[in-house]
Amino acid sequence: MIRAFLTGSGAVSPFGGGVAAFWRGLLSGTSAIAPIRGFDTGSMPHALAGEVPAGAVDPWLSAAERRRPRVDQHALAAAREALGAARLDLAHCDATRVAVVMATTLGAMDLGEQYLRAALASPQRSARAHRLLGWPYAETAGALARALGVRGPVVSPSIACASGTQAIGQARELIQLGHADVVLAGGAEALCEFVVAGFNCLRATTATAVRPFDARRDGLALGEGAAVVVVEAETHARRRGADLVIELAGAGLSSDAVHMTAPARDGAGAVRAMRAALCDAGSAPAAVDFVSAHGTGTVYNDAMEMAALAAVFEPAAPPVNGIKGAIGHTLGAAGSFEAVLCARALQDGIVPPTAGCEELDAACRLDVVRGTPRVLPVRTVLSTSSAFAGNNAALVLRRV
Amino acid sequence: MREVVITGSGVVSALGHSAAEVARRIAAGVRAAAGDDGVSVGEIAVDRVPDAARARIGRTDRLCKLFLAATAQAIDAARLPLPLAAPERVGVSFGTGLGCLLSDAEFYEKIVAQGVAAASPRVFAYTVSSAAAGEVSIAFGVHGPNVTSHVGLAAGAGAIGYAVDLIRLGKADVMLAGGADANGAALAAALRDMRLFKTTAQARPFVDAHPGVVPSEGAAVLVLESAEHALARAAPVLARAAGYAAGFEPTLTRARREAIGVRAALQRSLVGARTPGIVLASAHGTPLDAVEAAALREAGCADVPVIATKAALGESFGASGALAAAVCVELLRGDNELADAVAVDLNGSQLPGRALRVESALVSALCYGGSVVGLLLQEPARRRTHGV
Repeated sequence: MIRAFLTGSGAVSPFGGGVAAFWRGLLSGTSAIAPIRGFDTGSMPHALAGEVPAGAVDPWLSAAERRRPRVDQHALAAAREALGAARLDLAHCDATRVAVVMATTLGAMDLGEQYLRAALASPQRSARAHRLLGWPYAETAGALARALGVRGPVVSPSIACASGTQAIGQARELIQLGHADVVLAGGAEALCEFVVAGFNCLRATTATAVRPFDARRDGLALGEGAAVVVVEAETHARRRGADLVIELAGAGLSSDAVHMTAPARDGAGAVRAMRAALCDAGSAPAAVDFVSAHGTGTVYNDAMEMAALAAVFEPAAPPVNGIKGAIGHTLGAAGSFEAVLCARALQDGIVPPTAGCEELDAACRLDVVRGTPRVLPVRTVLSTSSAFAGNNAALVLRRV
Repeated sequence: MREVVITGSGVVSALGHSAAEVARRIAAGVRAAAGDDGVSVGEIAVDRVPDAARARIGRTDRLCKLFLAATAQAIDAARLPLPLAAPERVGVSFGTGLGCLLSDAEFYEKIVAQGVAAASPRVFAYTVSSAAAGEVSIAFGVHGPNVTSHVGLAAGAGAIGYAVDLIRLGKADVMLAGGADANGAALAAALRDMRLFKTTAQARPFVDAHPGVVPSEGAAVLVLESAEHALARAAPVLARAAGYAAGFEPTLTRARREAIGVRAALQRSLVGARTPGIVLASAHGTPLDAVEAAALREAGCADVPVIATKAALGESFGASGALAAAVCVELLRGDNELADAVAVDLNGSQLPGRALRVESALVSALCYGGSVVGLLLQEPARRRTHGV
């Protein structure tokens, strides 16, 4: 099997454009979540979110590209930053050996919203019809592939809130089996009325702040942005003299088979995915130095994760952090943001604090990093995500 | 590398509710009738879904029902015992082109019409494309990998290819893999708005070049297993999944013939194998047909007869590649009589009827957006050292 290495990262987050802004924001322990400004939230019970600031994508996009759907802008900007960080010029690659695995759960839903509003308001539906072409979910991955001249496999994994984790796991599989030499993998989302209304109607949102693993946690806030990594075959990376520091060492998937919108209370599905990823990586649980948790800040998710992490890492779990208190729940991009965080933690030996977690839940036996960043030797990390429809995905990254 | 075999199939389509029935009718030259909204499969039979899961079906959307019905059929056909003996070693790989867009529209239109307070949590649960695979996992107790993928109109074929990959990697022993998409009045209206709704008379493969589709719907699921797992349980082996490759062509939206990405993917899916006996192509009278024909010629398939399943079934979006694969498995199982004009050549000339006995077949799945998937299936009797 061919080994897969992470050779570059890019991010457009509620902290701004670029991995540096994302990392700086996480280390600060602050939250970028605020009242939504991007659209009218007049009748929403709860309307907090992490929104990408205006102009954040500008350094990476042309004027024409800045007229594309926002989700495509996020994805393309993050991909260009990742390619730059990897010092990889795709013009020098065999395009049929370059792949894109780009997750999104919403895609260009804002275009769909505009079309549906116009269709309901007027029988002249064709006036808005062109907006439909950008709506199908594969279109963000396709737009990225067209912009970059990619001719290898292009896929958009869609397992809801675990999609961004699966995208990076699938990139590893494409490399392992020789389907591609280079994979741009990640997730992208653009906040819209549709999804804020959806999580409100599930009564899953917070009115105040996202507090992962905190005793007072009462719900999530959404977020948006994109995180993309360059995943590269060992041989390809060595040939061009790239730094081989972070190995994408393992990926695991599982299904709860219990409920469509709630996690299995005992965490059995998440446990299976984490164990599968560790097995894939050939790593024992005791080798893991840090866990990037899903940590949505809802009562049930975090309780499930406490049980799952305790089971996997018995007798004691390594330090844990969650980023959703800082940037919100970025849905299909969430796991990809976590992969970027994991790569930085491996490089810098620092784990950021969990924004929003102040008063640890008394039932939580985890070592949740709070308050200030923690310096520690990080050789192996695990990231875990859980999703609607009972999907779980986990990744193991390793410093070599 | 583990060998992957196919041990069962399930189909829900306008031309029948089993792969054998659809293959027989396509071979006989039958075409699905298209109404004002395109092709519909009508009522979806879910009687093979286990009793314990039947109560949930009323909550689900049409996409879930299609995938559930096809999966239940496939599990029966593969004689896979329920409850699953090792559920963590069984996975789902689901491909869909449109996914949850129709449920998205239902959810959002209610908000627009009645306000946010009217938003339905029941409908919102089905506004993720992974809902159908989630329902399948609940209905059949699947605990292994469960992935839904969007690859445009090539999604069903891509999902089968990904299932092959997961078995080869040892991440599952059994995969329930295929695609589904639902049609309806809202979709037909949207296609008309975009001037992409066409009639069956405009869909002659490799002859017409009309943009657009005859919208259809359906689902097809294959049970894929590692050969050793199938052997250990004495499962019926219908075919071998011998080759899979995917690619992308950035120029496909402009339908240029020098489509490097299409050619590369189809060639790679055939690596090491002899020329297939038949190709099940995506061609359905669009500008992409010329691209597909050129790529197939370059892949060594210039003289191979082609069956264009979309000409018979309509464009069933993410289901189309999986439906073609299910038909393909049936064609590999034995002698089939093709009626006149069922097979065509790459110029669109109709070929006379003939008995068809093939050892291997290529499924070629293309999407307007740029994606292409090639799947090489082989009849199980021959042993080979080449291919995947």
